[in-house]
Amino acid sequence: MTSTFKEKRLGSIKKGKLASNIFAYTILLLGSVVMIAPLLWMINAALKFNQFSLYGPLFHELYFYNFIEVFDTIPVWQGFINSLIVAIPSILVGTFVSALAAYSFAKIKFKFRTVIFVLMLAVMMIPFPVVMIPQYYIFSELDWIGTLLPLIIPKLFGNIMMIFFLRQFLSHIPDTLIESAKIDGATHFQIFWIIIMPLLKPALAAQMVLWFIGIWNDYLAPNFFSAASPTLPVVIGGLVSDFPIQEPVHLNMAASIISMVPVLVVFAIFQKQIINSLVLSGMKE
Amino acid sequence: MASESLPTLNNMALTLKLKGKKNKPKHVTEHLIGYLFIAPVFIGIAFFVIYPFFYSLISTFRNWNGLVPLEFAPKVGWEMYQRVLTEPLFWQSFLNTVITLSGIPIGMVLSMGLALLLNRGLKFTGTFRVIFYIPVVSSITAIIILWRAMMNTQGPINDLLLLFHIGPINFLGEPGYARASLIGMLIWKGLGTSTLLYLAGLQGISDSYKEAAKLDGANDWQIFWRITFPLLKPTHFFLVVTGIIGGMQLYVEPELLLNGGPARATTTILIYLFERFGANRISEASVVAWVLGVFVFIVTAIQFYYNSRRERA
Repeated sequence: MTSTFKEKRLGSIKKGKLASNIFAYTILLLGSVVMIAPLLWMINAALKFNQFSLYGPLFHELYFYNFIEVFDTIPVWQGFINSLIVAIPSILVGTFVSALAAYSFAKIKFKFRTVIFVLMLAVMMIPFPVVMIPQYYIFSELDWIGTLLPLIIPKLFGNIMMIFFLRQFLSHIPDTLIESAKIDGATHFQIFWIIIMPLLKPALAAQMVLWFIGIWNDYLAPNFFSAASPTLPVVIGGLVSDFPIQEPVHLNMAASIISMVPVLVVFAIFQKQIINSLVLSGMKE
Repeated sequence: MASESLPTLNNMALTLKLKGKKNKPKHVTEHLIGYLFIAPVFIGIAFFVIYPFFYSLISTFRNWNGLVPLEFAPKVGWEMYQRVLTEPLFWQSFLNTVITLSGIPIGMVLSMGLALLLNRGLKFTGTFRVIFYIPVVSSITAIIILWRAMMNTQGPINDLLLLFHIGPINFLGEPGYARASLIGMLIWKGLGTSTLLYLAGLQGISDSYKEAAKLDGANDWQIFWRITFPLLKPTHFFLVVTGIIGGMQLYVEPELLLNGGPARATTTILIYLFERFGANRISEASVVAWVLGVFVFIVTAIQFYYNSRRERA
């Protein structure tokens, strides 16, 4: 009696669990469809023969030539090159400068270092709109408006967010490592370059990738300071017109897909690090 | 491990020996090198943030059109603040911006639900995480171009609604629908971030709480409301604060998706700021920026206070 009762109970618990798992999968799949469907529709739209068949049956026309034609009709290539010109030096130099500062804040005991660090974090609280108008006039004074310099030069001086995370990472590296290297006659720069940089590699990779995504997708500053040398988001943003009927939406979609590819590739490669550092940023606040 | 600690011990003895000899000059260079290594960052902040910060503050007390150097603009005291704060269009854009913040709780509820489902240890959880995060990393301008086409009266969203005999709806042409479309797009784009943060929050909750409650006879619903939901408070708080800070600075989405319209329904604070800037009313634009900045500062200060209290508790 009791044993069959037990079995029945266990069975119903299992059934209950199975039912709730099916429910969970259904909702998650539905959510995934909502997240992915617009992007699939985008690919479908980019393969249409022209904008007049845009809203016809899905994936009915597969006109891949759009992805070649778009380079002739929309300045995608110029935007791509400009975005690279902004991203590469900014990230390479900016990361080096940030790492150097993070090392200094974490491992060199100079006077007022905590005060300076806290003040620097306070600066991060100033919203961009407060400083962007004076920046416009400073850049204008320097004849930089319309060039890519306002997007590159300020980033060469490092990234406070990155300094914050790298310093956090460095605080887990024992001081004795640095002390013993110093005793062996190494200078601080040698310690930084030979010992610390290799140790920082995983943290650096995650931070650089996040920064790259931010720079690549940024629209506000590039549009405000450098519209005459458009980066990719500015090129894509410029496709919005007051006459939607006349827009070559199929080509706009192809251009948009091209603008998304570099970030999606980087995301595919580094998705674990990106998701982990996002989670970390939420917890550290 | 052992081989590493041995030389360190030797070195410590060496340090002690050296300490008496040349302690002072070494100490000074140590400070100098410390400053040298942070110098580039310091110069960057001074030139690109601190200087513009005070420049902006000064410009709010002058009537400056941006065409002459700032020092030639007449000093007007608080007049520019008065002008902006009594301007109905400013308050309308403020209200429009606050209305879009209503997407924050909706997004939080949706993402909490998804995170609870992802936290059940099911297969493919990693795949779902990546899928939900794809819109987050996608270029915002590309996403806006896409949504504009999708929300067309002939577009796929109206096709879908037609199946339920609804529509066609002119999503981008009517103020109410335009606001809803904007909020919908923002939720869709940000859902991945909040879901992952909730998931991390859930994974930080020890199972022992739930097991203890289960032993006491609590059902799943009670466990969620009495244990899980309150323990997620830091995540709720973080999402509300970052949502407000980001939401108050909303610009690209309403500007490119709706051009601030229809009938100015999606003209946010920043769009209004750029309008003033474009009309060469630079001081008014700066005042708008400062009102926004003070608002963001207050929200951040509340967060700071809350966090420091939590750390002490």
